[in-house]
Amino acid sequence: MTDYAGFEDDPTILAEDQLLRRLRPGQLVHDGNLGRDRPSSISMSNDQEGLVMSIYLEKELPSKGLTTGDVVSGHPGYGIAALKADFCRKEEQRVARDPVSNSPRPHPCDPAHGVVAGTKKESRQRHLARSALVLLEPARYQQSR
Amino acid sequence: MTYVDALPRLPLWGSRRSQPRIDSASSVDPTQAHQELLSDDPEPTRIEIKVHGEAPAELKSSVRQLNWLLNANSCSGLLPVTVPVLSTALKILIQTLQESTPTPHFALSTEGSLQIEWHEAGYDVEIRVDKQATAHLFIGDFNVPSNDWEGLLDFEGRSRLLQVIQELSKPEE
Repeated sequence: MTDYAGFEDDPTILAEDQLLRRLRPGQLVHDGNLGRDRPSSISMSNDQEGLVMSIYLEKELPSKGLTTGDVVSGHPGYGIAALKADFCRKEEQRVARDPVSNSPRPHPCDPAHGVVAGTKKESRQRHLARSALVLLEPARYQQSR
Repeated sequence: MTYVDALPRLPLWGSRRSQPRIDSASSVDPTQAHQELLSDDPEPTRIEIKVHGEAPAELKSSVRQLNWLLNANSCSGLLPVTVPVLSTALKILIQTLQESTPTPHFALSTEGSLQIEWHEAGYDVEIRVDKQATAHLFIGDFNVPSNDWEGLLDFEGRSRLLQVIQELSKPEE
């Protein structure tokens, strides 16, 4: 039984809406089978509490004077991946708004914060990662000999 | 420095190369081919492997990448990667990397897991070492999806992993 941590799916988040997920340094892989870079599946795991995955709703950003790049403001070396809301729903996830207020570490994009709620076994994380587009590459290891 | 016991050796380096041997420290068992050296910090940000003679390039490259990753994420709010997780990952690498195996990619999760992965030659290989230091394996076969396999990296998992690593290590035609 999937645990949605009490979140209901928000129908005002439309199927084609983009959900922006921060990628930490090193969470980008080159997938030779797909012929492109994509997030590592490990980047699509739920947050430390294990209940939801944090995202930012792209369509909420302009009305707050923000751009996509602001998602990684204050996070040097981070990148951004975009997921489609409908793909997440097809993976038995719920997509919901979850604006952050009174955070001890406030971030400019807090009002656009949302969650992809639902259990994410590793196979589901792989599906999400393969579907994601990389909008901004995180720092990556530069191989040297 | 803490010496982490190595698992029993498997003859995985192939016949063309002699087994690398551990360097330094009189306490090292000469019958063991290698030993990982991890700092005494329970949440290390740097790892080191000492090997007698020439260390395989694939192993050196993997350790360099791991050290970069630990350093790049040391202030990022991730739960730190612990010694048991790193030790398990290193043992997997030492026991599976073969000559000409492509260097894997490494990534960390927010909750202290480490993933070793390859995505090439029609295979997706992901080894996730979770925060309890348990290793889980996924093998995806693009050409024969019914061959996909997922499970613990136990005896069967290790056997399947070695088969795929051999495929990945074949020279390109």
